[in-house]
Amino acid sequence: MTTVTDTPRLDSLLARSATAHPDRPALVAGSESWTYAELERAVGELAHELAAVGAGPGVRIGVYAAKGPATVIALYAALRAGAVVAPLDVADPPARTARMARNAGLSLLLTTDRSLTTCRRAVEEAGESSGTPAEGPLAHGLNWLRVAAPAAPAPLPPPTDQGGYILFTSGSTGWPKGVLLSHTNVAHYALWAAREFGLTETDRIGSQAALTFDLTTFDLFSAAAVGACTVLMPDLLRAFPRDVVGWLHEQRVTAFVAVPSLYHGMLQQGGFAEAVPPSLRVAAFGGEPFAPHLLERYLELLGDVPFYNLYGPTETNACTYFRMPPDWTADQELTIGRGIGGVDIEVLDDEGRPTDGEGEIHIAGPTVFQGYLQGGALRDPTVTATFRDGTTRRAYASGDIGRITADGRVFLRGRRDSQVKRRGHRIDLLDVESAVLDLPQVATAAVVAKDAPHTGEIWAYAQTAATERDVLAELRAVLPKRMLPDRVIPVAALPTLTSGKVDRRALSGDAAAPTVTPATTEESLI
Amino acid sequence: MTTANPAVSPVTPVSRDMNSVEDLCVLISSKITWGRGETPARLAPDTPLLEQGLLDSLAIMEIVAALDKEAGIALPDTEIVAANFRTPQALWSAVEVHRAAGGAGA
Repeated sequence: MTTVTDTPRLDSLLARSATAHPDRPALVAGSESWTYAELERAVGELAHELAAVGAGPGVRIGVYAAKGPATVIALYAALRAGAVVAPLDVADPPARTARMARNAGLSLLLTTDRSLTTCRRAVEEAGESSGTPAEGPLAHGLNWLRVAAPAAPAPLPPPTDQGGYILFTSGSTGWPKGVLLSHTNVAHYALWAAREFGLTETDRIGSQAALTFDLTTFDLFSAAAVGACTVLMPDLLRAFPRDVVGWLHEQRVTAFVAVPSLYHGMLQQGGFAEAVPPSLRVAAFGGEPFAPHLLERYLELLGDVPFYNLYGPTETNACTYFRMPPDWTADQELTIGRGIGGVDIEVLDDEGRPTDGEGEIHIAGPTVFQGYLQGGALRDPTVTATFRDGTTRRAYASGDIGRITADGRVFLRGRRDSQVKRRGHRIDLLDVESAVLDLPQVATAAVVAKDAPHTGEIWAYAQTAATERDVLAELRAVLPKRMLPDRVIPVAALPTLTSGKVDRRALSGDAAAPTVTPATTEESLI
Repeated sequence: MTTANPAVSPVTPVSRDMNSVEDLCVLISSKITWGRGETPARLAPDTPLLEQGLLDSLAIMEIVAALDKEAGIALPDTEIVAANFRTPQALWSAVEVHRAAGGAGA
């Protein structure tokens, strides 16, 4: 077992494999292929170039680029330079990227030639000065752009003064929250997964999700840990389950981690049942509930190929796991399993005491993040909790409700706050709501997750004279597509409770309701 | 075992002329959530829909559903692939091949 103290840096995983397996393929994307020796050399050279423009310990760098070899090289090079690095999504509106950059205290963005124009827009919005930001070219079609921040953010405490990784989550304040992870936080999970899945240098890991998504730390760093090959799926295929199945075949993928939404699509529209990729050796899912009858079908189709259920908020990486029994059936309750090696899970009641009943899931151990970056500063929201073994630990209160059995298996029940999962993405309804409220033509608004028959949909009820279409068009300029409401319902007034609070339960259940009229409806909804 | 789009029930079909790639451009354009500064009218037969990030999985589902419901063209799952959605022209070619093969609807 690897202990916390000897967990290597993420970029050291790459360097080690470049020594152990120099000629093995490290990265494949379309017709491009990089061996470990080639990737390591490119990363080392780019790290030097980055140092020349100011990258180093204490500096926070965003990588704003579509998924590709240059993006992976940029992430590793920033880590090698000792910086904290944040993958950013080019599909996000520049205004949101600018907020993320400001919030995380990013002082340098790296981008590809293709995304240079939108990156400039984001940098201009994020910076203080209105002039053209300083920028310059780098190797591999990359560019650097400097964010003219009002003031340098407060330095980060150890261990992230020596670098780290930032992933963003939807935040209730309307600002995406930067989740600051140390090298160890990410590497611990990557090494655990490599061991548990039995990865070797002959494996080919299919990487389908955007690098902003936490599950992809497996694709990059578990591969590097053993000298396996990361196969990057072209972004264009992501919306087409049939193409994903074809790609798994063509690329002879042996290990694959994805959200249930994609697995659902591969089975229902992608022809997975008729063409189970013969190379597939191990697979995992996580991030949202799997439809039970489809999960049962996958277990039949996969036979003795191990299929894992992974759970974990971005703040802790995947922190529990359960290897699905091949004979599991849809009528059985599904567990998220036990803590991964070195991670302790506890369920605490409202008074903070361990309970055998339902309570909030708390996570402790080497995967627990350092804190959120807001306004450039680090805020550690973890709590000190005493687990049932009597040990007091620094723990992250997940906001997920569940229970834990005597043998340590955890069962999820739901959320305690305003967060929902839609198509694998964690979305804070208040984040969406604050974007709606920011629109000048909206007086007030409430954003809710709908009950049946619209389960899984997010609707915005807005007091506005504008049309649904206009509001959606405005929202598209400030929210990523994954966060757009499914419907915008213009209303004369929002229903309220006697407390004066918006009656969100009524809105969630109110099936169609094109108009919620004031006064009378308000009373009847109480 | 799977239907083209279970989310859409066969209510009174709105008939839509689907006689040219321009007709298809109009349909595709109506399913894109256009933001500020984007003009729907600019959609041309050779507009790179995927490269420009105009289509996400929901828009694709809606286009497939609308072709079925409004124009009676039920594309099979095997045609819902990136190659057929790169441009309106690519999708139009797929529609024509599908029609020529006699796959009008049910």
